[in-house]
Amino acid sequence: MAHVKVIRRSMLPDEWTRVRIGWLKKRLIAQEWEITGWTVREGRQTGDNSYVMYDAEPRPLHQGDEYFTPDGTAFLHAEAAAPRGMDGANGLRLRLTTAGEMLVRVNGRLHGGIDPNRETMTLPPAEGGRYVFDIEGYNRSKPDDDRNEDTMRFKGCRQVFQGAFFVLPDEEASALYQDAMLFYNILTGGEFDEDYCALVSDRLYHALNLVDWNTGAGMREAREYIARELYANHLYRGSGSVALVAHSHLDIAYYWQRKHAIQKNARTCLIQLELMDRYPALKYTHTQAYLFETLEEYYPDLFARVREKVKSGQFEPAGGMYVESDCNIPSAESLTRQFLYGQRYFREKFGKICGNCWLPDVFGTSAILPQILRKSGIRYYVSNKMSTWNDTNRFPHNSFIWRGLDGSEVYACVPPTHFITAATPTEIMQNWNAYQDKNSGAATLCMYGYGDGGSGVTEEMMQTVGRLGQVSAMPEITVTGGQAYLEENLNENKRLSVWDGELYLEMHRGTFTTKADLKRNNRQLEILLRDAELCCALRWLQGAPYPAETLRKAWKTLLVNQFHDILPGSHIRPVFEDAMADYAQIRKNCAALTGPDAGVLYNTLSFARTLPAFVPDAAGAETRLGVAGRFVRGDMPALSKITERPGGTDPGWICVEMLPGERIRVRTDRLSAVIAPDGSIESLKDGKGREYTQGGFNRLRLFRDVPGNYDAWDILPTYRETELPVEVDRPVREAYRNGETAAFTCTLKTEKSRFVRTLRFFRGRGIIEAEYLVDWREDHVLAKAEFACAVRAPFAQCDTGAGYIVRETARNTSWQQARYEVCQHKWCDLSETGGGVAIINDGKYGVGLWENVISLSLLRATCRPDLLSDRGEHAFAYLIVPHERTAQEDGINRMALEYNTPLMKADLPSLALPEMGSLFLQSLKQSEDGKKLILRLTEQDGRRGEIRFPFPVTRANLLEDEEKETDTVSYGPFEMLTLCVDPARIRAWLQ
Amino acid sequence: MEVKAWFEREIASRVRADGGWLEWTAIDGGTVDVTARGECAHCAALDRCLRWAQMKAKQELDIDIRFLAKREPFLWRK
Repeated sequence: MAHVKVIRRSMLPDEWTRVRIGWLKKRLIAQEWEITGWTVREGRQTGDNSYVMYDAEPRPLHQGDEYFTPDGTAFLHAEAAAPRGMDGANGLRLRLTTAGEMLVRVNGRLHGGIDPNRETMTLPPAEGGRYVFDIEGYNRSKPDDDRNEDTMRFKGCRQVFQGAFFVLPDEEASALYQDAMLFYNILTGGEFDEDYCALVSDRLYHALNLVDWNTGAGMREAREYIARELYANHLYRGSGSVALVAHSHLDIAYYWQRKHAIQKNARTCLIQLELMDRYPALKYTHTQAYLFETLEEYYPDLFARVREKVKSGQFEPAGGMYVESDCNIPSAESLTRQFLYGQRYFREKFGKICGNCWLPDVFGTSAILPQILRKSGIRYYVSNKMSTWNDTNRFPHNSFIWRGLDGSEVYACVPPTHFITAATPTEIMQNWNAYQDKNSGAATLCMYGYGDGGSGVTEEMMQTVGRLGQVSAMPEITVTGGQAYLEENLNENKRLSVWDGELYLEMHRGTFTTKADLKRNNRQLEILLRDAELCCALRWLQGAPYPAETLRKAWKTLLVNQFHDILPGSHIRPVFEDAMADYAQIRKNCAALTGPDAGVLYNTLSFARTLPAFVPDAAGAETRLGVAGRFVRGDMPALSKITERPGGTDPGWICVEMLPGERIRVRTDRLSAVIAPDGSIESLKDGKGREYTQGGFNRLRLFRDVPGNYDAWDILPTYRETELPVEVDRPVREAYRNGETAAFTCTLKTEKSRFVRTLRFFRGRGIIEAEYLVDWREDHVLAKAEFACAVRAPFAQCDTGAGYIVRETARNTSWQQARYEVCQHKWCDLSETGGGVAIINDGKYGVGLWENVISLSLLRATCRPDLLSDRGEHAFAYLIVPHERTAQEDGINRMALEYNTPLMKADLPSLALPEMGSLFLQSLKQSEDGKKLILRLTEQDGRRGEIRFPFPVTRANLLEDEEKETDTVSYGPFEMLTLCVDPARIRAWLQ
Repeated sequence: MEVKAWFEREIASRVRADGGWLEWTAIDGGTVDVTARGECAHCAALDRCLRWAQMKAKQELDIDIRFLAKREPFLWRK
């Protein structure tokens, strides 16, 4: 008989149960009394806890009035008397339903938080029932929050005041509601055994039959029935072990600016502190030293309460970092500073460093991190992202050992479920069912609490957690802290598998490219800060004071802007504007530190430079990226002033020939190239006649780039399906030629955008610089420069900033296919035995590498969350480096460091360090305690060796805790070394 | 143009800080057409925001003005 779909039918028992739970919800409040006499004063936050007020005086606020304004803060005030004989001591609460986020002071003390996830809060006892309410309210939540449905209708910048009330909860109804919700969740979540669900369905239905919905009578009987029939039923036994850790992920900036995170954090901490008093089992894990710093500065009373709870073990500082940074784009030194400043803060304020790196929302993590963690006192790494967001492959582990580029290992936990859960039975079962390391002997980790905009655990979640242990069908539940979970389940666990290499997230691939200005400024400032610090350290050795606090502040500003929704570009427009303003200030501070142009150029690199270095100079005869200047050549030894050599005047080093079809043949003393009208290179040969092109090379290509909701974050695998035309507006022509350089320029255009492309050749150098001046006006377009190379390379190399990683170029497996866009730092390379092509960039991190193609991502034009993202003018460049041997043998990394590090205009003493080979001086600074000189060296080429110093040095970890004095330091491939030197000894040696 | 500059400074910039986007399109007598993009494109409370802008215009510029919004979701951008 054919199946007939029934479209009209009576209500099923489970549907009837759902309806009655809805009735129950309406009975949670036994009595309520409206609080009248509210006033509101509205304003706008202009800085960290500073405001401009719109109203000179508060105005009355009545139920039904509109309040809140776009980007606004509303300050509410009321004085009220509680109903006779009642106050917080006998359960009286405040109820205020809002889509905003509110910090509530009661009788002068911060007492609780109201937000879309919680509409009531407890009240303290009050003499005579007199209450004074002062509320700071913000209407900032991310648009796709899982919100209380009741607040959805008030959502928006301009809200309607729903009134505020003293309320007395109905304890019996509340308890029955929690029981019913727990079992209804089991019934409908689809994770539990069918027979058990049948039992729950039947017993829950019958329990609610015991309630008289007209009078509310029978609730106790219903609870007793549930206790007897469901909680006490042990016929159904769950398996597994799940550890619950309370947490609230807090984005420092996203759909809100950094200044707004200060209140989000205060509200979050306040709510958790209040819950801890009432639920002693609650242990809450909170990250980011920056957030603790702002709490200490702006809410010292709250900070003192946090310290008390840290001492008691309920409030757990975690993560070790200054902020939850992006872990793809920042340099090795930036990541080091995240832990240096983060861990030192935690040690100073709470007496100990964090034992874990807690990054629930990071968009993948570089292979250099395990070493940084181990050398920052951290043995555990946590991130939920790959298990819940990978779009192609299922990451094969949840508990494992993560091995980094240098071989350092940490224990890693990638929990099977999202970092935001409500600890419902279904979410916990989903976690256990998805857990892939059940047989390793470890429990799985399930975080609970609201996050992104903070807020954390709710009272309802605590009620749920308290009931879970009574449900026999649940796995074993442990309520614990983050570090305790890791130590109990991962530490010394010999059964764990090893994952070797980067933790690539198969999503958010666009974040390597979105907001090119942030990426390029971040790159430049990482280098500028390195150089400013080096400059100050050298002057300190000469006896000048060291501006430690100024440098630390500049670093911290840069670090905050490396937060994983700032540097990746996934934020609203004002966040971008804040970051650019911060970058301008860091530049200004660095310029003040290095001092005025002394007329002397200094090489801050720890090796001799060989490439021509462009120096801005108003009187210079050449222009690069729109800036007048000159290319400096000469003797440029390591850490020394340079001796400039006048450029040659004979233009005979280059021969230029016009070819049919507006093409140009260029022959230099090192290269021979045929340039097409659009600036692409049809042929590129070295002095031996070896051809490096095999198809479109240095070709500008535009693709339709519409990834959907995660516009700023994602590039889809199908992005190449729609290519957009680029026209040649002015074909390539010789722009200038002198005794050292020659440039060829063309102009390309689309309907909206314009590209001026210049190819620059250098005498005596087998490199070509490609420069772009772009007026970018597209919507939803990805611009790429592509290079089809005459290279058979199954592997590509990508710089990580502290060594290189190898990536497969084949597309055989789904794992290879998913990596169609990956992260690089300053360079990538495709080589075979006998040479290849390297592309060295000045701030481009996204690249595709397949077969013989390098596909460098240049610009995106995303529309969400920032409609103007990347629109406007851009100036950037990259070096095309054909080379004969491996990237390491041909010094590609050193070239990339040179290309990205300008000569410093400062008169500084030479620092003659021993020849360092493949070690790079990543940082030269005063130690944080002000006593030593710190040298941080990173091995970049994958070699091992030793370096002998002419003075004693002490090895230290990245936190500058000293370990062992020596004069000979051995190192392994990609190792980071931190060495402390007594400044008196180095001064003596220099003399 | 004074009204347009005021709108950009006092209204649009604030809306942007909440993830929204109101863009001045045209003015015809006492009516200003704006394009609602970003989060404004699907905001249920947009009318309330526009009424607030009208109230601000009255308070600060002493003019009676009405804002009419056309919604443009971000995926419409091509």
